[in-house]
Amino acid sequence: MSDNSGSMRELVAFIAKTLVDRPDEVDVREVEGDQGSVIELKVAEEDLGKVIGKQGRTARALRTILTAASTKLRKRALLEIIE
Amino acid sequence: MADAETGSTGGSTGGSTGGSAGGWIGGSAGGSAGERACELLETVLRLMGFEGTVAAFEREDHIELVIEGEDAALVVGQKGQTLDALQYVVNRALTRELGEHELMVVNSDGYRERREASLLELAKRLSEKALSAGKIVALDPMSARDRRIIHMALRDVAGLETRSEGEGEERRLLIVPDTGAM
Repeated sequence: MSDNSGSMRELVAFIAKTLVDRPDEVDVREVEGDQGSVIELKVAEEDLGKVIGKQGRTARALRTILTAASTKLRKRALLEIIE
Repeated sequence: MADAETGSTGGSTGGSTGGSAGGWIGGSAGGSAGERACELLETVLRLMGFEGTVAAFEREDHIELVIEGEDAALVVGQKGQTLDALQYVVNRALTRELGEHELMVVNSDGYRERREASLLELAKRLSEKALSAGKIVALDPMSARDRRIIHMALRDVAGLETRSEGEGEERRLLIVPDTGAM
């Protein structure tokens, strides 16, 4: 797919890479399920705090953005941060 | 589309001067934080499947990033929560990339102006309630910018003062009449 607009996997990967110190270690997979897909986000151990944030605020912002995208794309998606 | 009167979610309000008169900084001056923010936000919007472009405007104490395009209304989200999430992420990303920078306020479809108007209305109504009942009125938790808007609106009202209590996302504003308890 040459046009990557509206890709939830790429959306999460792009944002995560702007937030962490080791963007090359950002790994995002999309696992399709019956209820929609789960976007699994994996980052370097020392970057975990950067994608979760104080009191989970960054993770919550990521989920809000993903929810807005899934509404627009008519496709359910959940974000799972792999620890 | 107006906010609940309690204003429970903390959308930070731009307090922009409105319109696009003056202060346009996006698009040409290479390398500024505002231009980088526009790029980041446009990429995120495209990956979300939204049609939109972003322009940056220099405001008194922040840079306003205005989303324009056919999805401008859709991108606001319930009580502005999508705008707030985008704003949070853009500011975090810029801090990592550039270190200290001006605060970026993300606006779309005039949401920040509507939010400010509803906060001013809320401030007026609750201050009258506090004065007539002679009791402290506590607002729902909201962001620092939202609290500031209400604080500034009531600063010169005789017979009451405003103060904040609580920590982090639980921080809320109190409207305290002079004759009230405490």
